[in-house]
Amino acid sequence: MNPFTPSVLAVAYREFMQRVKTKWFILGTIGMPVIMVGVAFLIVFAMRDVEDSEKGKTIGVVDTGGKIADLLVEELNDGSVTASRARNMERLPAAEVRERFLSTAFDYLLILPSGAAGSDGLAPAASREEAGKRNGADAATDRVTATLLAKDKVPSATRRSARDALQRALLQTRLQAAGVEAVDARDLLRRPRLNAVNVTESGETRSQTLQTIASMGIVYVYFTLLLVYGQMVLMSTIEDKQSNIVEILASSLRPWELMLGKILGCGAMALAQLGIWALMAAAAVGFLLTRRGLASVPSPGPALGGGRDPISGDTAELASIDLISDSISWENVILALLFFLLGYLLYTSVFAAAGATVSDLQDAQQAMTPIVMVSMVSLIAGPLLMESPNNRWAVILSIVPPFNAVVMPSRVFSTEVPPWQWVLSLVLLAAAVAATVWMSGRIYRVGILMRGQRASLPEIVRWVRHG
Amino acid sequence: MVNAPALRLRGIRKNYGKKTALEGVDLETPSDTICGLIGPNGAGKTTLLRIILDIIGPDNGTVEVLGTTDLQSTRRRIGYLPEERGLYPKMRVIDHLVFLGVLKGLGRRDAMERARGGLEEVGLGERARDKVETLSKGMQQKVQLLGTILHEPELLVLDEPFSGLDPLNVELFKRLVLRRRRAGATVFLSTHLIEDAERLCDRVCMIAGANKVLDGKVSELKAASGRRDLAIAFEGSSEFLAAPGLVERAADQGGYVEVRLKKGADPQVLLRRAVESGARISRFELTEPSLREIFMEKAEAAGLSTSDAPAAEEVGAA
Repeated sequence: MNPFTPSVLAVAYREFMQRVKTKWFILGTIGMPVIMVGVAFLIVFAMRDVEDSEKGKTIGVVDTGGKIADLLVEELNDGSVTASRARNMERLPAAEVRERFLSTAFDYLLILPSGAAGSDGLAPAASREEAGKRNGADAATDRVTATLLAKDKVPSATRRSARDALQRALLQTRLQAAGVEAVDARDLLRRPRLNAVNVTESGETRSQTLQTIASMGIVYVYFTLLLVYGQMVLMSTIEDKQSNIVEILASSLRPWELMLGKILGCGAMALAQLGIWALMAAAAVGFLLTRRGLASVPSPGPALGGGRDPISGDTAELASIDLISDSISWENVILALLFFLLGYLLYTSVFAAAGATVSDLQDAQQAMTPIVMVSMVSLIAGPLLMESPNNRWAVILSIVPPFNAVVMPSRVFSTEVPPWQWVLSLVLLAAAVAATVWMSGRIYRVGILMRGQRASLPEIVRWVRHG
Repeated sequence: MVNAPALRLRGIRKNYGKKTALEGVDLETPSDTICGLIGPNGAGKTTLLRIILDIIGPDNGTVEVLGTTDLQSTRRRIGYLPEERGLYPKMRVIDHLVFLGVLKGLGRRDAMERARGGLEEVGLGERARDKVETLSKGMQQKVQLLGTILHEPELLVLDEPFSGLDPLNVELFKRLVLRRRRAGATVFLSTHLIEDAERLCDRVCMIAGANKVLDGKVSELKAASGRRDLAIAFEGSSEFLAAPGLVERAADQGGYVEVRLKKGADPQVLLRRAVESGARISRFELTEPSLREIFMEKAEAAGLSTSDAPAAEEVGAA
């Protein structure tokens, strides 16, 4: 039987047009990316502003041991603050330093414990431990604890750069004490990049970073879309009941036609919205690429050759772009879309049935709660399980409906799923969709004509059994 | 299809849980008539209409509408005005009418033209592009009726069509409904106002307490109920009314009296007695019973309390 009867299409068309024509749709569709970009800019500007305001700040170094103060001042001055030694404070007890600090011109005061550089730089571990206990070093981990006094809240960037400067100064001091001269501590401390790449039996290589982004992204995007559009179908059902039009509709078409029409109409709107966003994103990326492309024309650096130069950051970026085309296979994208479509049908039909059992928004909230809870399982468990996507629970959740609608597409992006698993998952999901749509249709049929009180569970079961 | 009845219901039974809404109702409505479904509130009228419209199914019995039991196929040939009126408040008037028309199988363009024509006719041409919610209640009622008849249905099912209407709209509704009737449509309307049914309908069907208690042409019902009501104008004594075995009740207003005869009593006998008693008769007329009187009689016979509808409602609560 053709499910796309003229009545279904008429309902879907109305639903789509009514939603697309509202100011809210236009505002939401155009406004959402604008707001997101705007917020991103705001954060960037705010952070830059914080950095700027930190630029002129002065920091005093109090080193009671006196061994690393000069190196530290040098390292600190590499950053955005102006550092100098506060020699007049070095002999004072800690309590007095704190008191005096407020009357100095310094914005910050970095106080080092006396044994910070090690008692003589190369003391045996046992005696260092003892010294550490006395001098403020964390004995167990041999960690130096310095104190940063501030007159105002310390921005995390400042704290971080002070800590990094201290780390470099300490390293240099200790290395010098061990007889190593002329070392660039910054270079020594740079973290190496680690690019985890899976090599599967089919010889395919995938970047794990990208896998993680894709499989996490799918969980969040699917979860949001299923809930947002599911609720839309539910609200639309309640709207029909509240505006009393449902009886006319019920006399003109079959209830399942009304339900399917709503699901399709809202789905079409979802596609329209996503399509507009995709276009906007594509346009933005295109714009950025052409600008960058133009900028790079005058100086096509050697990095463009795409070598494996471990130092050039640009090359690494280029390499990861290669990895994108490597690891996002079209089969997986199509599979993910298929799961999304079925999941959409599953969730929206349940939402529709829930909408049919209630008559007002308050009851609707309650009716929605169990559905939201169930879908939360995928949201919470999904990303956790994706840490090891072939774990028993990950496999189960990716096969059993309704979780599989979200978990399986997430999984195919993070590991090579044996075909029997995704085929089984797809078959089970399709069967669940068929059963749910049928059940929801029966609940819908009786429910839409109900008024007033929320239907109880036994009542709903009776509707399903007897129609 | 001229002779096929518009509606043929056999043994329709419907329970809601333990409550019986309809208890084996048979009904046959010839096409080309206006049939009124009357009965106290809660007698099962709306349930019966919903069964005819295939909104709900009967527990038992067969429903044949417009000559077929495939109710799915008849939906497009029926126009339904429910008692609880409702339109999408946020839709434009014209879009709404087109939507309703398309649901009934009209093409979008065709529906648009008919909607425009209809709106012009009821004086809402200017408001076509306004949202439904900006219209007054009376205007919304007009839009609702237009939506019901836009696709020129062969069967109009109207549930309490005149309730909540202002007098002007009542006239408009009657005009539009009668026009459909003249175009060959059958009209089946429910009302709890018997006078409405009497004025508009050529057939009535009465249900009370989940059962049909009356069904037929209005004229035949009146005839069948027997001409037992008399209006007599006279001069002289009214003692002729006291004749035993003849008069059931009489409202003597001195010179004018409305009389109800006992069953089987011959009006001629009363006239003779009056003349013999020496009264001068200036008027002696057999009057038709009103539908209300017939209704009361039947309801009494069915063992229902006639004075208050709520009592009847309890018996046949739907």
